[in-house]
Amino acid sequence: MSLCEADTFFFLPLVLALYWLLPRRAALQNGWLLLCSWVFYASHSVPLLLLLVLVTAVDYAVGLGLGAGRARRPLFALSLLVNLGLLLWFKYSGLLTGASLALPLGLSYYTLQKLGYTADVYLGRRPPERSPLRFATFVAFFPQIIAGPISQADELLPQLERPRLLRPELLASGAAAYLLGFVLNTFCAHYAADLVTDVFAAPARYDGPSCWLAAFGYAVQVFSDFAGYSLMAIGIARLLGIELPANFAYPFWSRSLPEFWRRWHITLNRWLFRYIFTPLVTGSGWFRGRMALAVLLVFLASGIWHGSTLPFVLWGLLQGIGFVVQQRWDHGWRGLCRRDRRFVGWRRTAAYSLAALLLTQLFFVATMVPFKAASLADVGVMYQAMFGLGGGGESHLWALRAIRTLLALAIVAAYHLQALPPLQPLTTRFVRLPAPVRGVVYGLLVVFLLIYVPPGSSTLIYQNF
Amino acid sequence: MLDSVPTVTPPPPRPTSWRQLLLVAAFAAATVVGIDRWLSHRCQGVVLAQVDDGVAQLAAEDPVAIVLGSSQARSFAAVDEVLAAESGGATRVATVAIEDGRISTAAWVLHHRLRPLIEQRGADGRRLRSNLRHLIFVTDWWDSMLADAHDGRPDGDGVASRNLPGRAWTFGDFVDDVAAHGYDDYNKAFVAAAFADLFGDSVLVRDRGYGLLLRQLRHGRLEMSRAEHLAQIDGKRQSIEDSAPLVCAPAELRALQRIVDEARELGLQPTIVLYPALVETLSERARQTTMRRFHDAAAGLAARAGVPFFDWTYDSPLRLEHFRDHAHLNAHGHALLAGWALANDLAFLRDGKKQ
Repeated sequence: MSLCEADTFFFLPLVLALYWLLPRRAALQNGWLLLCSWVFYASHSVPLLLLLVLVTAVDYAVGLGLGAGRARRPLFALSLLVNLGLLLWFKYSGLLTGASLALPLGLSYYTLQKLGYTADVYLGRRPPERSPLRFATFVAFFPQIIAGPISQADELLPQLERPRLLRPELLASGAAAYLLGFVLNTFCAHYAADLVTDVFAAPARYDGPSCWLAAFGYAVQVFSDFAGYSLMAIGIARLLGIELPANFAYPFWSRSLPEFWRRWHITLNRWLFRYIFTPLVTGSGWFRGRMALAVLLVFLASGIWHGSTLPFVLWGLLQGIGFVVQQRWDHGWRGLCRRDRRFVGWRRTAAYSLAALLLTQLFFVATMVPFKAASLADVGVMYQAMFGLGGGGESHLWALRAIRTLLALAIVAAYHLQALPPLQPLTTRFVRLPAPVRGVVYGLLVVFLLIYVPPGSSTLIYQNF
Repeated sequence: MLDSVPTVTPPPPRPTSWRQLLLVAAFAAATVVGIDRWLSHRCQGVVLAQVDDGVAQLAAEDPVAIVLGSSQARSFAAVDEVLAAESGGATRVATVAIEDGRISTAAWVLHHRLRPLIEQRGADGRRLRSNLRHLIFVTDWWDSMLADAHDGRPDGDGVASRNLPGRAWTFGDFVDDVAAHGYDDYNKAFVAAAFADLFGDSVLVRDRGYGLLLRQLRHGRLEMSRAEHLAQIDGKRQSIEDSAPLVCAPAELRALQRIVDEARELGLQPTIVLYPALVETLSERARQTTMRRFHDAAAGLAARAGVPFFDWTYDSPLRLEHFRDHAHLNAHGHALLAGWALANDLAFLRDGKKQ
């Protein structure tokens, strides 16, 4: 089961109906949520549900032990060992044994979510969760277990302590978020892939512009796929009266890499910076004050988190290098500003903003190549074509002629455009339109999806990580 | 300007009332239903008979024959119409069409869905469907291809094809499979099909994956334009050639034998029919490889089993204008094929006698 397949449309109404019919008590609501979450997970694999329950029990016990003040370091080490051990085993044991294991669904996500909890308890940021029901629900909450957003304990656990009240604005905004996410995930990602698949399958055949188009198409595909899924997860959580953290915030408007990684897969990067970067540079170890190295390490970790192959490592390295270069540039510019106030003004010009935007986006698009490519050799072939050092003779630009592909790109562009301050009033105006008009618009959107989205068109690239 | 791009999506919920929410939902639903109804009047129906329809027909009638096969078996609904008109409803043919074909799927359908009805007896101990004499199995090369193990599920005799759960199972079959294998991508197809069936009257839901609605809306016709048709034919020509190594999969041929054997067990006369091909899709190489391999395998099996075998691949009166795509007939084609078949190889259906 995912959040947008046919079985979800049987599962979700049942979950919602009983959830809101139950008496307004947090324990009852959590109990039902936990049962549904375990059924959701069991629909993928019953043995792996048992694994989930087991590791949940371990971290629950670790949290209580940390709270009791006993053997704090060994307990935290135990949590690290169990969580990271499982993650590393399932993701990377294939490198040693030659036989890769199927990654338990959501392992990469719920591991980080649990580790964040035990780290927060260990560091005294929050008390341990005493209720096994609440803790198990926190770990297994079905809208987010497959691919996030990754919640911090302080975001989700307090919500589970209180009974959730049914309010019309939650249903309205939850349904709207779900619908928007569905459009991105099933339509935009599906048709953006038409720019991508053929070229990445045989990169040596294609010329530079085609490789650039494929990299760009992949950036749009991944965004649509994952941001769409995140919106669906957030939407479903809202229908249950629970607020999940944002995971994407118009990343294609980013004018720097630090900004980009605050807008793309927000919850993963937040986790990496909170639990890896900050302890490294503020701790008493060798990395203290060594920001650049810590950044490189964080992005290497991000690359390895995504996959065990060398292209992912390269991707992480490139992101880290880009981030450090960006920081050096900003540092250098601040020095120039101190010497000459004109640099302050120039940085605020539209030309600087535009150049920064283009460079940031071009860098991200270019680094999509190792993220998607099957091997380092393919990465090399595509980069050679993209930077004019080689390439095949075949063009794939004709793929842009497909109306649905153009429409997919237009939807992603429109989604970003409506976030700009001059256009934000359009959204406000839409919300203020009479209810029948808004209803008709939503109805037309559903008709559009029924006509243009064939069954099975949803994929979730990020559930493979 | 870009400094003010929001850092949180989606935005926090805006206050609204239950009345507003219900109005929006009601108008959204009304829009979808309204457009759906309008489309059902505006466009020709894209209702394609499925296995359940054939089983329901068999349950409701006492036909002289069951025509079992892939999507092409739907042509024989026209045979049923002709016979029913001629006989005042006394002579009927039940058509059981399996989308996406495969002989092994047909064998499963015969054993699990049709056999209970064929053997069903009344209070007097006699078979309820006493007119039933024939099982006509309609097939072509596609049905004999090895099912991709990634699409289907390995079973004791090969690979159970991916179309089985969504096209042929009942809820009981689904439950049994989940109990045996867990809920997986294979049996999930049953849920997807059940979801579509929930909205069976919806032309929008029925059309998903077929795209016939759009063609009618854009061009005012169900059929492809000649240019589209020829382009599709060009594309299929190579794929039919390339399928030569894949046809006549042993598991599928064993399934064909099972169909013949089971029909006989049930007291029915089995007949094997190779469906007419759109000859423009067949290169000379495809005729000598893919088509010849399958013809020889099917004809050889029929000869060894002593069952009638009709190869209509090249011999029918059908032409390009009778096909709506690379392999399926339009309404004119169905009618032409029905008339021709009843005047020739299937004439025995008129008198209901065993051949």
